[in-house]
Amino acid sequence: MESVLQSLLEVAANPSSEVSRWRQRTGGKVVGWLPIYVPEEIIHAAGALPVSLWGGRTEIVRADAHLQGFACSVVRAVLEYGLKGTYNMVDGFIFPSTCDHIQNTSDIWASLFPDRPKFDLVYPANRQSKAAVVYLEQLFADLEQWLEELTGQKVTSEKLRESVKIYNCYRALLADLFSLRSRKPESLSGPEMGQIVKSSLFLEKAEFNRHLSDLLPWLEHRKVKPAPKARLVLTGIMAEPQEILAILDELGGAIVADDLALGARILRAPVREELPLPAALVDRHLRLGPCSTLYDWRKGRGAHVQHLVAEHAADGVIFINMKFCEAEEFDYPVLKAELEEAGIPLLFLEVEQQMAAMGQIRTRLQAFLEVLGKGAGS
Amino acid sequence: MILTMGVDLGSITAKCVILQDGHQVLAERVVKGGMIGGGAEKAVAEALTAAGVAQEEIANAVATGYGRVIYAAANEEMSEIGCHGKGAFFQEPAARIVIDIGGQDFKVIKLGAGGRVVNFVMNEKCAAGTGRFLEVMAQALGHPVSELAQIGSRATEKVAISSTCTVFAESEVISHLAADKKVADIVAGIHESIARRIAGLAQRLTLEDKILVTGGVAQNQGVVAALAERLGREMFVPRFPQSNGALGAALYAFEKSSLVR
Repeated sequence: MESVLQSLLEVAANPSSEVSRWRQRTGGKVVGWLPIYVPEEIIHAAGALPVSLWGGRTEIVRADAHLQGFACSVVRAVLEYGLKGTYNMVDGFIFPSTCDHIQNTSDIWASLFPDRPKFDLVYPANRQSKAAVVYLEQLFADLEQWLEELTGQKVTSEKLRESVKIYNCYRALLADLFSLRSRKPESLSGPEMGQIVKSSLFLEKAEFNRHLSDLLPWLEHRKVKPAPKARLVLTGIMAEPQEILAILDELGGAIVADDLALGARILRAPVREELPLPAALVDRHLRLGPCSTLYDWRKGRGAHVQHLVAEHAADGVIFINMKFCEAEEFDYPVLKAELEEAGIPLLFLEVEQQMAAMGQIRTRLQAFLEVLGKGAGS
Repeated sequence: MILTMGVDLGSITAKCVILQDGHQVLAERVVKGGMIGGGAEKAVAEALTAAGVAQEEIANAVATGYGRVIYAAANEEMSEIGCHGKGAFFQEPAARIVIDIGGQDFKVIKLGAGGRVVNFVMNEKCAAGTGRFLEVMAQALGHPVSELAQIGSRATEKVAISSTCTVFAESEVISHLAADKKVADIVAGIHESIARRIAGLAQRLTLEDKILVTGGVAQNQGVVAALAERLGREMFVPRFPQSNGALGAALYAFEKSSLVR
């Protein structure tokens, strides 16, 4: 089993070679999509390999000629990878209208790579309107048609139903993994946990599901670190750079639940298999959230995070802020006030994907554990 | 008699405090040279000499500050935030807020019962509002940083420094010099700029009296006065502003060593 785990960690550490291998082996098309919400099932049903492009740790050199330094590090990294050829094996790109940075990067992308197929998935902001349903049905139909043209394969209702099953299974398995993280935090190191989730972004999901279902029973009895001193909920875009997770391990803090875009948020709302397709995919999109990038008239994030704290017996919350992520930064004051009101300790931790100096991060994490009474001096 | 030691290894300076029985400061030393440059060893050696004790007599030593993980001689480490809380509570039990202005960062710490840290905020990666900002400005003005407070006290008005960014603020200072503005007034503007930046962050916490200002920059009366004016509250500078963190580390070392006994 250790070798299964190692192979997943290897995929996460070196995704482009894994994706290239898949492409050579199957002769299929690779479709890259930007964060956060894309109906991957349709890509999968079209016979393509969906890969999720969440930036990465690359030196930003070429992208600076096109994107301002105060754009978020995720889009800067995506553009850098595009310019330096890392995405050469990607046959088509999907840019959802997640935020200003992604939408405008899509325009820059179009001018830089006019011949590379791209689809703009422009979502309706108001998901409460009936018009949103009509609009989304047409949007997903357009996406399906674009994918069929790209892959030369028809998205039949049987294939789509099969893909929906695979993706629901994927969400359920990751939910099991997340439950393990809360019940037995000692079973995986923080970076291992992060890398398993990351590996799922690049593997064909049926294959990933097989690996993870093999791993789960074995992980139940695994122990790689002492029982944590502090149980923490992580909210934000993503848990990167992953050194943060290693520092937390070292200090005795464990992430027992998350509200991350690259984490629990994309796994929410399984597709209702009893509904007809593709309407069930539209239904799922309408049920997504709470998320800083989705209009939320109920402002449900604070309540959700409080619920996570209670459910997982957490000691505190870390708001991991991807620097320059406006959507998240506007959520922060609301969340801060609500958690303060509820008496839940909160740490604001600002990060960039490519940051190298971890000294300040370490100080904040260590001091936060001390505040929780779970560090030195307690 | 139990002797303990606290070492605070900052970005620019190293501080060492030797404490007797958790209440009497035997020696306190601040030396140039922090994480790099052997500052820790020098501060420790000087403090030991000043206290007239040998390293072997120290029952327990705790390191804090950015260099805490690389300073191997300490038995334990604690974050500087926790140490500043302990140090401030020892120096002034009525302290509820500590504003620590160091070489590369500043932090605002809220204390609860017994000096326990209940909340804190820190500046993000940006030198505005730190000792480094003052040093850069002092260099642009051609005066040692230690003279700024005195120069600023002669100001008749404050020249506005509008840029938050240290690099842009420096060029603003040079423009003001070129425009023949009074150096004292520019210095007052620099102090105001630091106070503005710190006050902005401090207001994220609910401020309560008594407020202590610590760190190297606390020795600059101009900054402290500007901060008091901005926040509309009195600021207190304790006896050991720059060694407050090292003092907290020595106190923590004492707590730990008495637990063991």
